[in-house]
Amino acid sequence: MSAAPIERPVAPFAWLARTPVSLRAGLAMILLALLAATLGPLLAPDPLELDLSATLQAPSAQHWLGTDNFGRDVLARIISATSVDLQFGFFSVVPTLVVGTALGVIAGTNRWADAVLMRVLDLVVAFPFYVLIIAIVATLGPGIFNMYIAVFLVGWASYARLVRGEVLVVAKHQYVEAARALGFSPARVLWRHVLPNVIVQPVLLATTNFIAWILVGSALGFLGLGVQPPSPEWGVMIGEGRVYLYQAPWMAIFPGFAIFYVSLAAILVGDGLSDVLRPDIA
Amino acid sequence: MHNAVQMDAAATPILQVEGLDIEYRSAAQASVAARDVAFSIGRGEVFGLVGESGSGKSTVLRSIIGLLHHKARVVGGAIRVAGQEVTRLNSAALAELRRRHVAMIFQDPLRALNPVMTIGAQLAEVMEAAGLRDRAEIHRRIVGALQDVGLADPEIRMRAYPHELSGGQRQRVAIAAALIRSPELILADEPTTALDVTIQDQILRLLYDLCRDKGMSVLLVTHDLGVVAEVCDRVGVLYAGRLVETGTVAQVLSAPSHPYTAALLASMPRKGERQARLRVIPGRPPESTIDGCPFAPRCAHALPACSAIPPVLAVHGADRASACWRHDELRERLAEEASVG
Repeated sequence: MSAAPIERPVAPFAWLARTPVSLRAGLAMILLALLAATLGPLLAPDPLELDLSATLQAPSAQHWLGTDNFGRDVLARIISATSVDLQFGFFSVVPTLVVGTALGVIAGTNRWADAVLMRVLDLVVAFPFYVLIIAIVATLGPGIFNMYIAVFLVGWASYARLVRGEVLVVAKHQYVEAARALGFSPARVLWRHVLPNVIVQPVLLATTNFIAWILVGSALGFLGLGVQPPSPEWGVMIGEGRVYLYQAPWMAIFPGFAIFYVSLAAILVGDGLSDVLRPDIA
Repeated sequence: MHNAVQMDAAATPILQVEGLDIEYRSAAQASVAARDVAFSIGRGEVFGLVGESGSGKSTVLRSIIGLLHHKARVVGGAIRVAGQEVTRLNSAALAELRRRHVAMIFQDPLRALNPVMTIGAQLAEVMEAAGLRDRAEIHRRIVGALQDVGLADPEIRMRAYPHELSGGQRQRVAIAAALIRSPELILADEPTTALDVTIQDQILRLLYDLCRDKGMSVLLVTHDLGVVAEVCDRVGVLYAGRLVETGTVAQVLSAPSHPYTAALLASMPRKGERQARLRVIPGRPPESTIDGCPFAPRCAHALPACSAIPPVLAVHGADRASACWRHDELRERLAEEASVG
């Protein structure tokens, strides 16, 4: 609590011990993934190096997770894709979370803004999700940056609608009225009393969306609209491995594990964050 | 305790309500929540506003700091806090009034505190909003305020979240938040209704003692005449949005001059008296505005004229008024009714 006037001497990082186990575990897992993304490429073999004499090799001492249909090292490709996928998850979640939440708060407190925003939102959600994203990417041209733009244009809507509903509920709570009765400015009431009480919902949505967006990114990669081959990406790798599922299951299974790992980390972080953000329902 | 404050009556009243009309407006119709309500509260005085659910007592209280429901409007009359007209204040001046002069205590302490802020942070925010910046001073005053409301271990309590406290403790915190800036007027909206019966009395006592110590005035809205008898100096009885009677607690409770007050007193269960059934006032309050006295349809003493012409709140005697055409002739019968039940 930022404004607590309590100055008490504490050991550095003592706050960490008070955070939920799930939050610490999730953050540690993400830290490990970040380490792999930054240091891994220095240690692993070249993820793009073809070796047509060693295609579809089973995991071995030389290729820990086997090789793909072009003889590329699967582990090296998974590690190399980590930064791409984490970045995609991050850059598709954070801007949509921030902007969507802000717009939701505005819609929940201002009737005119509400009328306008909700109509724009209706427009966004009226289109099938993938069709809209694909249409936007196709218009802008394939590539990762345009994918972010498409994701942003579509992604804010779910946060805005969620937060708007929450704000309408919370604003009727007595503690919000009590804050107004104490003469706090509307901005202060919103920032200190409404927002902290609605933020847990969009944050939880963001942690699940983090995974969903990675899968969307993979789907777009599969359609040739996102990450362009030959650069590795988990979804693309699973797509490629699908064809060889019987001969070389490691091609699809291990990238699948990578997605599972990141998903688990995100869920743990989300679970821990909800405990921190809402001490009363923890 | 009811007489000590009468001396201050000469000073400007902290609150003056005159001819207050409040309406709830929906697309289809307007309904009256308060009609021609008038009363005043002297400095250091505890004024009780009683009435049953829907009588408009909370609406009147909320209008004083501009916290009416967005469909409700003050359509007439005046509300003056320390001489300042409230109904025409802009939002900045209204916020200033709320920060410095008037504080409100809500009915349900379980919902009146922000669940994601510690007690200390919430109390600190109150003082920061009032312009206090010195951290050490804020801390000192929070500890003091929590001690004042009888919370043990304030240093520990201030780090607690509301859900870690009991209902009674939370209402103590809410009272601390209301009193910490020493406002001149406290608006208490059924402050003990949501609490356990066993601690209602403690909290009420606490509120009363603190306000008395600091010379604050209190407008206490309640449906409990026992509460009124215990802590109020003067009382106003509200029925269907109209003030039917005002006076000192001693006068009103022992010698009511309106049939509604008498009926209300008669319907209170009495200690040590076995009753087969609780006494009730037959009928229900009117749902829409009626021409005459709003209580006439349920009144045992109503004459045909009562339903035709609304009685005005007539002053009779020192500091005493009632809105009944027959208050003079009924005086003795009402006192008898109220005491016998």
